[in-house]
Amino acid sequence: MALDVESHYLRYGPMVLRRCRTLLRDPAKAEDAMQDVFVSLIRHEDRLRDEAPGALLLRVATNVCLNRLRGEKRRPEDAHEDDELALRIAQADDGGGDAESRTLARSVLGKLFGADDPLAASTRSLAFMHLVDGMTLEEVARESRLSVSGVRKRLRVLKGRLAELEGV
Amino acid sequence: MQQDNKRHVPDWLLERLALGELDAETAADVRRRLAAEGRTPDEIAALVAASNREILEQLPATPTAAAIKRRAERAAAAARPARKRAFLWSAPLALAGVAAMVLVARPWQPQCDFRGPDGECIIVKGGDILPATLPRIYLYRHGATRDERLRDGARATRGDLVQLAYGSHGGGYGVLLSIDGARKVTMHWPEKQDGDAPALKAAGETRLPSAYELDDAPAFERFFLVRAATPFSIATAVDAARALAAQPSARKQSLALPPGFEQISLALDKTPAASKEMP
Repeated sequence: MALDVESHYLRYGPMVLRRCRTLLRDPAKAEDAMQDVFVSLIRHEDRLRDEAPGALLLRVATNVCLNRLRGEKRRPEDAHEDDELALRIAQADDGGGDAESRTLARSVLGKLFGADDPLAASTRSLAFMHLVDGMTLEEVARESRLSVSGVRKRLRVLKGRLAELEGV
Repeated sequence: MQQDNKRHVPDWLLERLALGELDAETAADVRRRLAAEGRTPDEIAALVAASNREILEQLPATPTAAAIKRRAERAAAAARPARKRAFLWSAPLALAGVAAMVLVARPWQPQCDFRGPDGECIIVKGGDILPATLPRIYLYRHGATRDERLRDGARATRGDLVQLAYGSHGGGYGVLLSIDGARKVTMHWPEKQDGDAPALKAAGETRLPSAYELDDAPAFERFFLVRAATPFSIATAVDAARALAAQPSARKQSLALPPGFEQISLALDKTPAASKEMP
């Protein structure tokens, strides 16, 4: 195995674990997810050629954790909450989101993206970075190695989903 | 960069600052925003270091790394039978592909996988078996935890995020562009459409700095690497692409380039039957 797992874990493991704890809110699940993140790094270590490990590992951690959240049994949410949630996400998207609206954004993201959704994977993590982490579009683009217009385009689709939810 | 002091600096950026991996501009912006919040980079670094120590005490590096390696080995072992089957099937295909490589002297014959500087057409069938010395074009579709390499003719759909890369062991100069079923030409590298083509890295594979999201153009998206040994005007490639994009045969026909150019293409199939409808 070419990748020096121990040295990478020493430098990045705590950061990855903190990220997983933030997303999963469960220490045991976070530790398990953190190991999966490094397994993914071992399998795709060639990607380390192109970018700093920190951003790559944070993105992989986000994806791994969102996949796990998606796989968990989701609680049915009250229909009447949708409008309020959509409004709060829209507020967060405008850059004025507070901690509460981000928490609500986080809960609605799980509802927005199902297992077979073509928007799954990277868009979910982009949405999470922007709406829940509170990063600007420019920051999301830079950390994801995408163009700002590409990120904006994907989040426009997210807003479309929110509009659909409001119409339900 | 967007300036916004009202929002807390995201943990993501603080982690990257503590690692020292942010670019100078972003790091300066994060420091400025921290100062506006009444915090300092040193405080953040101390908090991160304390958390790191605590985590590494709970989950020491040596046993944790060993557990990760075991998990990786189990995952690799689980994937091995499938890979073996794939190899058994692909080996004869690859051999057949080598036998099917055809050099045709007449220029502009359709469906060439690669055109050399003398306009010769190299047709490769049966998979990815272009000689390593020839320029190459690579496409990867971003996934949740891994990228999927896309071959010529692969199915794709609106919203797919693709990463473009090229290989040019011989260096030279080149541009990467695409044409689509809406007869549009998109520049991927460089982004400008004027001036001279930049130098290509003399390497096996070089990824472009950013990915590309497929839009709703119908039928196909066909990517080209146009290369020459000496500098050339980007407009030469763009004009040829525009001319081809306007043709009904744009999906198969080669670019009509002057002598001295090489071109290789890779097309994604976006036919509706294969597309997943975006909401």
